[in-house]
Amino acid sequence: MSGIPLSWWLTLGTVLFGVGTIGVLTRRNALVVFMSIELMLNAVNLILLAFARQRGDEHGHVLAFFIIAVAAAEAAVGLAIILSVFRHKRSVNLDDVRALKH
Amino acid sequence: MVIEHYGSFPLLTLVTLLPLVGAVVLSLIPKAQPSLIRAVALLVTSLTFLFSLRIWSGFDDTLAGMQMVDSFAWIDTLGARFTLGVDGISLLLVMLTTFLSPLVVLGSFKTIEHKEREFYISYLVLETGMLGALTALDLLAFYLFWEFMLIPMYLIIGVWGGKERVYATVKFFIYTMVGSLLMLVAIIYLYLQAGATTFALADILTVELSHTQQLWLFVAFGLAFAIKVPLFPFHTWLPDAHVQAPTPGSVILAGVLLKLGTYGLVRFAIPLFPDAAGTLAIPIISLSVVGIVYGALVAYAQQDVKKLVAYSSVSHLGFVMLGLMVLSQEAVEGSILQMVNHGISTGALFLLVGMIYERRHTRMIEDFGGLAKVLPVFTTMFLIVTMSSIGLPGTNGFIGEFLILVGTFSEGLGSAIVSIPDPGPTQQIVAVAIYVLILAAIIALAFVAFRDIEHRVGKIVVSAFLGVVVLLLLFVWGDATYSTIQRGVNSLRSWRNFLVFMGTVATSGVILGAVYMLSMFRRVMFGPVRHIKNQGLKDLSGREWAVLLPLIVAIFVIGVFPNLFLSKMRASVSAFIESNYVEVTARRAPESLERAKIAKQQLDEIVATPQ
Amino acid sequence: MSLQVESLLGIIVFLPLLGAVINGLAGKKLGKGVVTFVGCATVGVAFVAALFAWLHLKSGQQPFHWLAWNWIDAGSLHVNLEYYFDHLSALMTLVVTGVGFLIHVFSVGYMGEDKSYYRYFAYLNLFMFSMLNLVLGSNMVVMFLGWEGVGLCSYLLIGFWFDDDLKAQAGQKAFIVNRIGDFGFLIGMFLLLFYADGTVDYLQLQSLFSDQAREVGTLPLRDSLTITAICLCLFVGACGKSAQIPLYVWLPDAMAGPTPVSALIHAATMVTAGVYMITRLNFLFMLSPIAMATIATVGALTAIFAATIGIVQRDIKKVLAYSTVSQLGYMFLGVGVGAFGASVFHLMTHAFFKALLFLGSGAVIHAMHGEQDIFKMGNLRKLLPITHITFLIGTIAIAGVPGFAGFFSKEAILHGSAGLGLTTDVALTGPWGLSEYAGVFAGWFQVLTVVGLVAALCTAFYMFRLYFVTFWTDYRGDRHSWDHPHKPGFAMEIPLMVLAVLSIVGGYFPVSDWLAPILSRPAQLLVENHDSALSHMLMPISITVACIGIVAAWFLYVGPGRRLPSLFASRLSWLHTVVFNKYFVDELYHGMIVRPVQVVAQALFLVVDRVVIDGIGVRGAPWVVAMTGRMIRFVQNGEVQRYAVAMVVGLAVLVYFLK
Repeated sequence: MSGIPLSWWLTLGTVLFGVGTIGVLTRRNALVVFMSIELMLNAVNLILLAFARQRGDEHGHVLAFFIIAVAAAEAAVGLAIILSVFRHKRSVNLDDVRALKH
Repeated sequence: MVIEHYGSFPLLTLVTLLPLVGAVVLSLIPKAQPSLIRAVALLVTSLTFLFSLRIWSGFDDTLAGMQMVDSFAWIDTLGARFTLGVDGISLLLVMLTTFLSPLVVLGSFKTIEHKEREFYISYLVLETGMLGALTALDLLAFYLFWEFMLIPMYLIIGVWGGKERVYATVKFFIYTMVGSLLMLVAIIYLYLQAGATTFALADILTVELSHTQQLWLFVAFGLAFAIKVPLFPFHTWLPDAHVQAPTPGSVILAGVLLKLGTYGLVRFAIPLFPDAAGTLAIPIISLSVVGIVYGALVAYAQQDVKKLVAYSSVSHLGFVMLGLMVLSQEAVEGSILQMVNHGISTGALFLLVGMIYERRHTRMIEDFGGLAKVLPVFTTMFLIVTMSSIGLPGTNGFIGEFLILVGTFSEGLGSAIVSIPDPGPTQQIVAVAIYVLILAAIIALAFVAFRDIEHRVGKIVVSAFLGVVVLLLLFVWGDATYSTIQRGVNSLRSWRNFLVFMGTVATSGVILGAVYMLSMFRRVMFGPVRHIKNQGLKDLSGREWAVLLPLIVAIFVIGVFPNLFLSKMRASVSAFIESNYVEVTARRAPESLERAKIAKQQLDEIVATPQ
Repeated sequence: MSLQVESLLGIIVFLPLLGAVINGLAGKKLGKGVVTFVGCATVGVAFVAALFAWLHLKSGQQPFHWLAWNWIDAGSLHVNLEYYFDHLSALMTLVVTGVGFLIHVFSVGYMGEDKSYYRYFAYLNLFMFSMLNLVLGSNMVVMFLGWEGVGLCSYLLIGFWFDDDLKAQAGQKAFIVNRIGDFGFLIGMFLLLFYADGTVDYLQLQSLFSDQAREVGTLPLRDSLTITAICLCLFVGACGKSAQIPLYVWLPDAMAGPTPVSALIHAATMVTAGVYMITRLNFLFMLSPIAMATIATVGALTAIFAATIGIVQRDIKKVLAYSTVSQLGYMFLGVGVGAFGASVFHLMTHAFFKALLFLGSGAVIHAMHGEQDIFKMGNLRKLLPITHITFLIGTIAIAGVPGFAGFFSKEAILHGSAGLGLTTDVALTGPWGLSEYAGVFAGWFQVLTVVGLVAALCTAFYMFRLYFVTFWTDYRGDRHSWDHPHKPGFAMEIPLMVLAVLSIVGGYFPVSDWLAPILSRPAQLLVENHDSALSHMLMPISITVACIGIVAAWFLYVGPGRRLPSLFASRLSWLHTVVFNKYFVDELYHGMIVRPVQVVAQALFLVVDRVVIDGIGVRGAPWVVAMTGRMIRFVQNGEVQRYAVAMVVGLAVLVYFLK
């Protein structure tokens, strides 16, 4: 680990985050979007941990644990929502869920 | 709350807040007792009138300043105090409000037949709002009362109004809010300029403002007032509001609410920003005079009696605005009296229209005809009020219009003469336009006449006559006509010519007033009884007599003994003119500044000499 | 007399008001007898009081004032409700109350069967009150009070039978045309008010303007222009009230009112208000030659114009109405040439004989069950002997037969007009000097005199045409009216007889001398220096003219030429059409003024109010808000991913700018 410079970790994290973002923005399947969000969260975790190692303190670890906990909760709630949407609409396609306007 | 008012007894506060107390009392009465509610409302408004008589009798008409001032600590952190006071200018309007209120309540007994309690609560709150706005000497208190009037009026139109009341209320509300929000901004600006310690009018008056600041602030205040008046072209909410409002709403709207606009101009806009008032005098006077003619003409085009009366208000209030901006003693006194006159005669007209509406459930002119035969007493009352409205000498309307016009002419002709510069391109363009318009109008007339006249020979005679006129104007007198027009247009660049011209146009309102009022009167009252429904209508009841008689008496008392009322306002009006004359004149007619200064000196001497 | 003579004025003015109030408020309950008593007695007492006041003045006492109260005080304007009794107002008051009283008495018979009897007398008394304010007021504003008041009463009385649309319309027309005149009057008054520093009182005005006239030719151009403007504006007012071109159109229509009203208001009193006003302000008008010449010209034109229309009318009241317009034109010709005394003289005699003629025509119409077409009458001298004799006296008087009242007064006016001609050495000064007035306009006044003579010819002709067709020839109406005429009672015949006597003796009252004290110095000098070739030959000419007119009327309507009128009418049918239709002036006004005002009013309402202000202004503001909202709404489509795109883009922008 010590051999790999920080910038590589950051690049990896950014690329993962970018892939996740593009996934969130372009995919229409709610599950895929959901996975992309997980990808983004983990990319952030990776970056946090990389900085934590670099600085030599534990702040980044704490934050990463939080994110994992929140991601777990989010996964539970999010999947529940997707499920109920599926029950309601027989589809998990996001284009069919446009209730968020007046 | 620390009470530290100056006078012996807070009479003015009592009169102002009494209706509000009455509203609270009303809210405690059970809904199911409408007659008790009516009685209480009538009692409260009558008591208010009785107390206000004490203001009238205790008023010292030799003093120019505020009298019976009540001042209470109110919002200390802002420096706002609850200050009320009357002077000769507001006294008459306060009396008008308290005088009209019981009559309106009495007149509404048959009109308002559901939600009586809510109606009278709104009405009493409205009365407090009007009295407060008329007596407030603190800008924040004034603004509070100003907005205080808006909501009950909104409810009165919106709940008890006619079919299209929602459109009317929204229009009313938006129009009025636009104006009053701008005014609030201006008030806050003034407050900050004054050091953020006081809202008192007397202190704000001492704030030094640059000309640009004054202009912006005047526009902000002026717009609120112009909409309320209403000055042309901000008037279109008025006909809708009037037509949709129930009779008591129309009466109080025309009788008092509109006057708040003109009153605000005298009390706040002109004294606070005299430079701006001077700069804007010419456009405002022009709009007022346009309003006089325009309101009259549009009134003539109406089929609905109530709408006709509403448009006549635009015309009448144009006179008031003209008089105020002319700023001569006669004109301003005339304006203030005319506010009262308009309140009485237009209020009476709305009451009369309401009475006939209660009988026939229509207000369209064509549904009537021949009422004079069926309702002789009603017709007589209507005739008297009509005559007052068109300013027949002996009635109140004459005194107001006469004084305003005398003031306009004397101010115009009395200003110093200036040499008028040669006509510029603008004047020439305008002159050419007028010349072409005249020719076009005559040619158009020839066509109209040719079509309208049935007799064959008549067609030829009339059209030939007009053709000859066109030829003469074009070829024989062409030069003379054109140069006369050009000279006329150019001469309007002088303030005095401008005023004389405006006075002349305003005087033509005398003719137009007769045209629309009398043709309405004829179509409603005269001729045979055409509709079966109009036969057997009942003439005025005792209650209706009681509503109208005081108004008729007031019409004659003001018309025959106007000095009773003019004497009350004399000192205040001359102080008002004295304190603004130089600034206003310096802007509107710099050429007569010297004369204005001399006049001011003379006024100072007059005021200084003990009588 | 223990009573203060001043307070007589209060009685004269306010007694009729009292009568109007009593009859108006309680007349319905009081019953006919009381109404008659109140209506007539108040005017009768006013007449007696006026006689006392007149005797007081005649005994050489000074004119006097009576102050009711201070009316309007504002700024530099001080108007008193004050009355003034001098030679002019004395004469006017006597005529108004005297003729007025007779007409009240006549009305008792004429209106006896009307349901609204009390209302009629209330209006009539109110009219007397207003008219007395007009003639007795000591300043312009009180005059204006009366001026508008008589207009109101005229409106109410023309439309007295208001259930007839045409009558109501005639009343409205009268009021509005009068208001057009009042517009001029008001402007003139405002200009005068300024010019005279807030003074409206006649005496003060007179002294002010007399001072100016004395300064030889020093009146600056601006002042003389202002004075001319004042005079012309006031004259517009006079045109409205006194039915001169171009505002005469209401008077013929005003005949819709009850006939005694036509006699009182539209012949004897109200319509002469313009002449009275100009005479009252003679000191002012004498300062403006242009205004004077304009007045004279308009007067002469009106005289001839109305006279020609009168020739072809068939309605007995219309003939008399045009005759009134024509005679008023004479009076204006008189004041225009500075013959104020002669004009007021004619005003008085005209009040007598025209009231007589109208009342006579009223008796005729009453007898004929409301028939007004003279060609459906005839031979009525058999049915109505007293009416016939009195009507004949009136006709002779108006035609200008020597010895009768009309002859003297008409002669005086024409003499004044003709005499202005050749006197160029009048050593007078005004703004441009009266000598120039007489000099510049000399030839013109000769022309106007000739016009006046032609009008006199027409007058004699159409009046005798009316007389012959009505009272001679054969009866042409329906039998029922002939067999059962409403014979006039005493109440109607006595006023006729009194007026007939007055129409004869009225001409011997020296009005010009009586009025001398109220004339300004220039006006007096003008009268004293009358002389021209025409004025010497005038009397024989005008007697000849009157005789020609009378003989022609006899020849064409009774004598051998009876077929000629219808021959003329068919041969010159276009001319007959034009004149019979009153030169289409009503149509011209309708097309030129009434319709355009209506169209413009509609257009303003529909275009400016509805479209421009409400459409673009009021609805425009919310429309802009709504449109903006509609455009922004595309962004908010409910798709979470698009929102997310926006967030990401926003974030990127933020990051870019934060770095």
